[in-house]
Amino acid sequence: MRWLRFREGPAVAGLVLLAAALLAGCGAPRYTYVKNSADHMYVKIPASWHSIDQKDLDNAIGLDPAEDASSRGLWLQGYDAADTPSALHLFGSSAPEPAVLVSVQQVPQASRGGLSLDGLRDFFFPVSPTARQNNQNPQLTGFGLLADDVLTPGDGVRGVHTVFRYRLGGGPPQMMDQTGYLNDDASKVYLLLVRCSTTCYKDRHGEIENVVSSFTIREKP
Amino acid sequence: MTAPVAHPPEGLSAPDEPPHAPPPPTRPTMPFWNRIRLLLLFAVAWLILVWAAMADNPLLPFVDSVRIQLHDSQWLIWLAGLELLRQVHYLIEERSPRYHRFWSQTVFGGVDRAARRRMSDWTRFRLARMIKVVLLVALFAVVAAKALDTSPVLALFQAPALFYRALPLILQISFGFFFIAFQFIGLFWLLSRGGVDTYYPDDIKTRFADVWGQDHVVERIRENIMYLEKPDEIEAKGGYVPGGILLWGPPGTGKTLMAEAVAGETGRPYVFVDPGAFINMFFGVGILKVKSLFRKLRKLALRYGGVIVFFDEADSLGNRGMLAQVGPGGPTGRGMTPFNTSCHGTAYLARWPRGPPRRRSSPRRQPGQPGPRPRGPR
Repeated sequence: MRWLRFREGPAVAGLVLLAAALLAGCGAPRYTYVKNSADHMYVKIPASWHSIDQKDLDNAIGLDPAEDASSRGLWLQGYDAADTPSALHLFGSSAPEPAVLVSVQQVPQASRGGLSLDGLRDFFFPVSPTARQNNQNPQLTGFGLLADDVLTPGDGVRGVHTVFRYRLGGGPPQMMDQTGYLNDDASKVYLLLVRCSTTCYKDRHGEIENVVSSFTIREKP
Repeated sequence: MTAPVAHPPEGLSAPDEPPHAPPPPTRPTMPFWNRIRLLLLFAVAWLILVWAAMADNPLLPFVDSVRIQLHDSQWLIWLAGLELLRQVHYLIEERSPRYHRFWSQTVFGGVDRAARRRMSDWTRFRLARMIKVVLLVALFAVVAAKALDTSPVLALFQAPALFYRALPLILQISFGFFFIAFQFIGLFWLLSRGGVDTYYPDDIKTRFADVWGQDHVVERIRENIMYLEKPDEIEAKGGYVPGGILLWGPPGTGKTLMAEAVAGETGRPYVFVDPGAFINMFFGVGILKVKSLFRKLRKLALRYGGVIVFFDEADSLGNRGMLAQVGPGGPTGRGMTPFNTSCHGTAYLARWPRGPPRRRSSPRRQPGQPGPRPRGPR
């Protein structure tokens, strides 16, 4: 080809490669990549799961809507596999489809010394034996512990992964897959909670496992 | 669509040709690099965003990053699409005279004429350069802002800090290369300086009144100076504006003084090129010098509306191909390269010297006369 000289070859090859990359990019991404760049927290959630409305989530937890994430020291996001995502699937008595809560909480200076792995286990529900003995909430019944692993990904970060079962307010039994991390100087708590009913957990175990195993904390950027 | 039309070489017309060749029927063919450079810029900017997203999230694979950026940074894809459309438009303009005439005269003709009327060449050049720089900085700011997750204005201030932080690594990597390359770059740069002196209009006090005893030459030069004042008007009326004057004479007859006086009278910058300026020890330095000289001349001409360059002892440049040779003079006896019309160098000559040089034939033989004796040993 006369119009294509040798020195133009690399440029043409670059454009062809780019066109190939664009073609490869046709279609939607398979996952929603949730990240908190400032705190170096990453997790990927199937793209078919929907985001839970932030206001809905804040109200369900009882957060002051006037405060933003940085002033309250708590960053959180929720995702729901149900067609109509709702915070109730996270905090209500029943979640027929998997629901995810991911959060990063700044720990005040005074509280840092008291944080332990049991503190991470008992962040949402009483899981450690001591916490269960002291549990005064009659709505929580039918506890069963399925897994409890201590995690040490490095760079001073340590955490615990627990899978347990509870019956909330007399509803069907719910599986909770909870991963908590504490950073090197105990200034941040990273939490991932995936919950759904026991049958759902059995049926969609692969998807849930994928989400939980992708939960990544980087102490160093 | 027809085949591309061959364009005559651009520049001054020859002395025996009409001054204004008709405007080319189609747009001049654009080099391939010019066609794709903006597309490549957008592609690189977009790939930087893909890479930045991957660098910011260890879970993100390339394919999903591409898919996400196709959605999030689709403004860059749109810009690239517009550029592609522009290049297709240029390609049609290069092939179709009617299409070219419609756009260059009917659509943009008025704007082009108004811009030429209101702004000098130098101002238009500066304006175009400024717009290019501003657009490049804006593109950089927007891309950096996306990569750094901040606003474009803040990104402009953050980027130098990031660069400064990465500087030790960059220097470490590039040291090996530059350690060797800089010695040669520096050497060639230093060698390509010198031999060319520039005098600005205020520096030159010499006038025609200072030239004594060469009245007939001064007279001819005065005529030629008129051309420098308004070359466009002379050409528009059918005149020919010469690009140079050859001053010939024995040493000490005032050739250099004459050139200085021309510069002094016209108020144009005066560039003096030493006879030895293009003779160098190293291969290629002479070519670098010629390139830098002409770049300088173009800038001065744009800025001051013209420039006077004086090649002292121009006969020292006469040896064809000398610039690329080693040592003074270069190899001799190479003979003249046959002229052909596609060589731009001869386009400025009148038509008669352009043909291949040939030995003038002896007077035509009359029938019955003996022919010339054959050469060679007998």
